[in-house]
Amino acid sequence: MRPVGSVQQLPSARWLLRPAAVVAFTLCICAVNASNAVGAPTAVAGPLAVVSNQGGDSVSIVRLAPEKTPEVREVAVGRAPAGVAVDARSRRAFVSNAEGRSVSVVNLATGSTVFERAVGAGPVGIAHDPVRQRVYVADWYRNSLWVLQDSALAVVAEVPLGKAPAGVEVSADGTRIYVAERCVVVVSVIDSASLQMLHRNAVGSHPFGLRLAPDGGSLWVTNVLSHDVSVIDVTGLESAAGRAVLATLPVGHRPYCVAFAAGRAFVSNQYGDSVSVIDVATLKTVATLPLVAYPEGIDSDGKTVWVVSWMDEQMVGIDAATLARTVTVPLGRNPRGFGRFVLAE
Amino acid sequence: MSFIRLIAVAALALPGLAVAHGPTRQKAVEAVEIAAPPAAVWALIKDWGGMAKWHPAVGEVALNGTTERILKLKGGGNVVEELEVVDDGSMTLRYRMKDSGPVPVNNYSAAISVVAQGSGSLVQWKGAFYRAYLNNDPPPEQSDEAAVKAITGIYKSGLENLKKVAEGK
Repeated sequence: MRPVGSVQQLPSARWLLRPAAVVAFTLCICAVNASNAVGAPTAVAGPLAVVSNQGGDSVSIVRLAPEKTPEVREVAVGRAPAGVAVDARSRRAFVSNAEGRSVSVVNLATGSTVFERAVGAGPVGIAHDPVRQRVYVADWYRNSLWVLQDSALAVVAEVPLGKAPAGVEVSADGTRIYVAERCVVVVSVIDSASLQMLHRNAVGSHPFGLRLAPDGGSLWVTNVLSHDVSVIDVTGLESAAGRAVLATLPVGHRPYCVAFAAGRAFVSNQYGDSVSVIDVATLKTVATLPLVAYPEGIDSDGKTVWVVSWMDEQMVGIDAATLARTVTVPLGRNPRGFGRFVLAE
Repeated sequence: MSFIRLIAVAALALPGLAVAHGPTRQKAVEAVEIAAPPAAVWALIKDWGGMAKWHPAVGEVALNGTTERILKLKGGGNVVEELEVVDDGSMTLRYRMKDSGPVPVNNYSAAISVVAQGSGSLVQWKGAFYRAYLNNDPPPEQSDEAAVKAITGIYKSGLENLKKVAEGK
């Protein structure tokens, strides 16, 4: 195994799409650059999705334009990528390579992999904290959380956890890290300053994905084997007397992750081929959308909810207000998109 | 029957099953065109206890209640499966393995569906599963490749024979 800290330079973007699509994307970048008189901006404007293609050792970078056919390019990363975390400020994506035992950093402006660094034994869930400029990575096989500095992925610490940690989430102020410890059947809260575990709270069977609601007040956890979602009061989670679990909401078969838009939570039900739509205020299920085969990664740009279909290898847009299906985007092989993969503008 | 041979080899190597799995799910997708009406093909597939009528690797099916079936394989060993959905509208049957027996997979789920195609049918079989080995660095017979190969073999041989049975050949 490569030692932690080794850096492997990778070739730049691998274009796998039709030449027309490639030209269209390139033209967009040129247009953005040309319109700026000061020059030198390298970032591509507009929202993007960055979806890990686990069977293709790549990510698909999708320029999101719900009203027309989105432009897609596929960029090589490490082996069997699973988790994705995007950073709006640096316009980079951090990708956990489950089998490559590494994290890749992708420059979203140029559409190329900047570098790949060895991290642990089984990196899965990944989250970026712009406040502390860190990347947190759950290690499925080492049962730990890697704390990495975000510029060069230097290791700050490795925090021991219980068996099979999966999803990772960071509070907006960067003070708290939340991890779903799948086989311990809990959600853990870690203080990001001391890196001490503050509390653990029991949830449903096999917690996997988790996401904070936009107001930061509740943490939503998908329980894969109990087919439900635990809605946890973030304040109660740290109060000894508090009742942390506000509600346990039944969803479809084997939920994967949660996204929020328009006051609603959207839960991808892997084996239910559906998305459960829950009103965040009332905690009532308002719809179950039969959508795609094996929906997994789910995220939102505020208006559209983007759902990755692992089986059909595509991403589907859902209008968060009308719940109508908008566009379908082709992805690479066995796509997952576990984490916050949409960069809203 | 390369599938049966595969199963026999895997049976020797596989100590047992566990609930947990690694982070990399695999898939197998196969399809066949059949010159028979969709309703007739669907009738064969939705017959939960009737898989031995069309799958050449299945010797006998024992039903346990209405949703559990035990497939007694001709190559030796049993597979236990749970029916999850039978939808006549979309002509889709969804099920999962409760015990994969000699098949080198974990956490297997699948769907078989029939759609009309021209004057005949198109049958699609899509499965999702993890390899048998639950940790890093699997031995070859419990690897991702072994899992995909085994399931692909099951689908190909099954669909090939389903076509023969449905077409009355």
